[in-house]
Amino acid sequence: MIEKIIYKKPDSLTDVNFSYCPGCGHSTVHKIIAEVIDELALRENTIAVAPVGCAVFAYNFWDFDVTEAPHGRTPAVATAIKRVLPDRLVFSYQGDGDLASIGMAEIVHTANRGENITVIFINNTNYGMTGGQLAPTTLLNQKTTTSPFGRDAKNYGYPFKMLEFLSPLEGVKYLERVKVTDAASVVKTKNAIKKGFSYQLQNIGFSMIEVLSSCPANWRKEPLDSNKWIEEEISKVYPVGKIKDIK
Amino acid sequence: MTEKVIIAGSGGQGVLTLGIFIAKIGFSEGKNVTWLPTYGAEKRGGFSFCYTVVSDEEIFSPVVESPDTLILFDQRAYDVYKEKINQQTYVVVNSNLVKNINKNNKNFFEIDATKIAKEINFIQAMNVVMFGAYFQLKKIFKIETVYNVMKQMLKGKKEDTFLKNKIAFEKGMEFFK
Amino acid sequence: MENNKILIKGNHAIVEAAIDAGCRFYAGYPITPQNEIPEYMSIKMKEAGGIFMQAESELISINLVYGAAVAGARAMTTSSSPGISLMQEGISYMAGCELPGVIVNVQRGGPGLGNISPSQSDYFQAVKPGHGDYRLIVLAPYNTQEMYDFTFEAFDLADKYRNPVMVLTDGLLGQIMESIELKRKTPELLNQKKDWALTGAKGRKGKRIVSLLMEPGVLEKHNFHLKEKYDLIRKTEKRFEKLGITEDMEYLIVAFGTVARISKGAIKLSRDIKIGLFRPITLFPFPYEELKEIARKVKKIFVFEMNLGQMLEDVKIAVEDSEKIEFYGRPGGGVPTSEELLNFILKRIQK
Repeated sequence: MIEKIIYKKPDSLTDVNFSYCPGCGHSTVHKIIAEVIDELALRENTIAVAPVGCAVFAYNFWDFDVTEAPHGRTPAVATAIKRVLPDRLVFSYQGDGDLASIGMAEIVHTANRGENITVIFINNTNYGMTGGQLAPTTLLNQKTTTSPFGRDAKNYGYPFKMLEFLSPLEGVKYLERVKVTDAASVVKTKNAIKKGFSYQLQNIGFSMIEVLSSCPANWRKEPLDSNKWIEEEISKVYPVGKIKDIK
Repeated sequence: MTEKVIIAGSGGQGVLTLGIFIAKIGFSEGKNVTWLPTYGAEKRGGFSFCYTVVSDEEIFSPVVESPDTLILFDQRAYDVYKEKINQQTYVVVNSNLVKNINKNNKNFFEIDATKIAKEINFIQAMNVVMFGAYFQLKKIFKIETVYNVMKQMLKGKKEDTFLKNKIAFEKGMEFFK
Repeated sequence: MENNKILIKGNHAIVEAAIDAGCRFYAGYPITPQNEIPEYMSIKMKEAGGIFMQAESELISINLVYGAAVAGARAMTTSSSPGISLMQEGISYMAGCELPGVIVNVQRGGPGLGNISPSQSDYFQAVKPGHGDYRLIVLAPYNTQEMYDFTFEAFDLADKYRNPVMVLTDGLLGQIMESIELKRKTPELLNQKKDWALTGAKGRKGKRIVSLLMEPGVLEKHNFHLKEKYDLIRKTEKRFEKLGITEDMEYLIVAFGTVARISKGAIKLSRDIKIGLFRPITLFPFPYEELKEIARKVKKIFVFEMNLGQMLEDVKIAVEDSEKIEFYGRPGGGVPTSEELLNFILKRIQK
């Protein structure tokens, strides 16, 4: 009998089942990252930095070396690891609270120094782990547990577009916004992450991939409705596509 | 032997450098030394002082409360430290910039170091002229050490920089011969 | 002049020591009175082929050190009081993750922005530090030679116990220039294998360096493990100096760092008063038992600090009869003179 493997769990994932909420984007992105690392044969050569937030548990699911950083300091930790071990693949994985709020200084200066690392930025427009509070990325009029009447710009400011904000910096080499709402967009996300990692391997410099990711539990929506909301509302404010690519 | 010196003036006059110079000379002669500068926001023009202690014994505090010698570059420096002058204190002032004095001390010495430094076309060496005077008045250090340390501190500079500093030093020294 | 001696500023001595100790990663942010460290380090680290980074804040400094330690490098950061406050988060994480690293605090006056004069008012912050049940090994130099020696030794201590080590010094020790002897030896543990570091999962499962331990009971167990380590440190790393401690001694000064050297001056001036000095060198572990022993025999114990009584609390723990203790402190950047300390002693003795 001839056996043909048509699908298998990536080696870069552990046997631990994802514990994220049903429909949460983290599980999908974790798996995409594991697949890319397998395909690039980098499992034994990768060090990841997990953030504070839901993805703090990423190290339970990835079977490569992972550390975690204080809230928002993720790019600083990744920077030092990469500087000490320049031939390893080093990436940080951060949510929007971690990256766009408390860690703003870290991400901006890491980008501006052109550190040769890759940042995976999960934008789900709220603080997932702590119960769905307003994030810098929250849409106008979006209700969260700390903006129960909806985000109004006068009180809470405007949605923060991180990629557009970082784009003019000279140290930044590749920025792309993607989503994981259907098969086609998952493939695009995988390609973007692969490109980011490949750029790092070629010593091109700083890259960041923003993934519009759903948070059905905190959005109070069903998973499918959540995806629809990304398509119809979130991607209007945060349009998907390449923001910068120096190659 | 313990010699506690306060040097004071304005930033840019070479106050700190002179303090290091004296410390290095003491160190070269096998003494214990400490040098403590002012530090902070002010750079040029601000009030500047430093403490140098040279001793055969262990130096406990690098902070000089009762100086054996005061080397004062300008009026502000004199005004700040005049309270510390007692009958034993050696005081060397740059008379070009210290005019308003109360000379009630037998070891009070005035030298127009600015004028002397100008005469040799090397105004930057006003502090070295002052040192020459101090060297001659106190006679603590050997002249060879002075030249050696001077050379060492000017390493990498042009040869005539050393010669010009040497002249500045000798002019200051000769003034009290 | 002895050949192996050099005249050097305290802040520069720290740099020489770090490089000699095999530190190859430094991150720092400007703050007075420690600016000579990053300035000199930017030259020396380049010569040594290591990594020098000017961080954009002290938060970034300490997290760069965290990352470098994760990757197995000998790493250091330096700052002064307000900057050390900003590092507290990262230091706690390092302690939780059991990451080695050296932090130098060239203390200045506080609270708040305070001033830039020397101070010892961060004793609490060093010895009883930030959030969570953790300890730093704290070394307190009192001259330029010890600035070099203790910084050098800090790296081995950090690696030995996988724990952050703080060199607690001050603006005076950072700024003075004194002669020191450079050791230029290879640190004992420089080439010790760091099996725990993250360098890529070659032929093995992925490893984690984390301080979030959410499963029931795991964090409690981890804290007990840390306590065992701290107890071992208490047993093996306690250091102190005794000066003029004689059988017929009547009085004792307890002081650390800058104030200890000024106290030595006071003892010298005191002539026939039978007074000795006990100088804690490690502030954690604090030499409680040794101090207790000596304290029994004296009539009065003088605690001198450049703060309003921080080490005083540890002296009170050590000394059985705390009625004997007389405290004199200068906060906010005040530096006492030897005469000032002696006057205080004389007044209290006559009382």
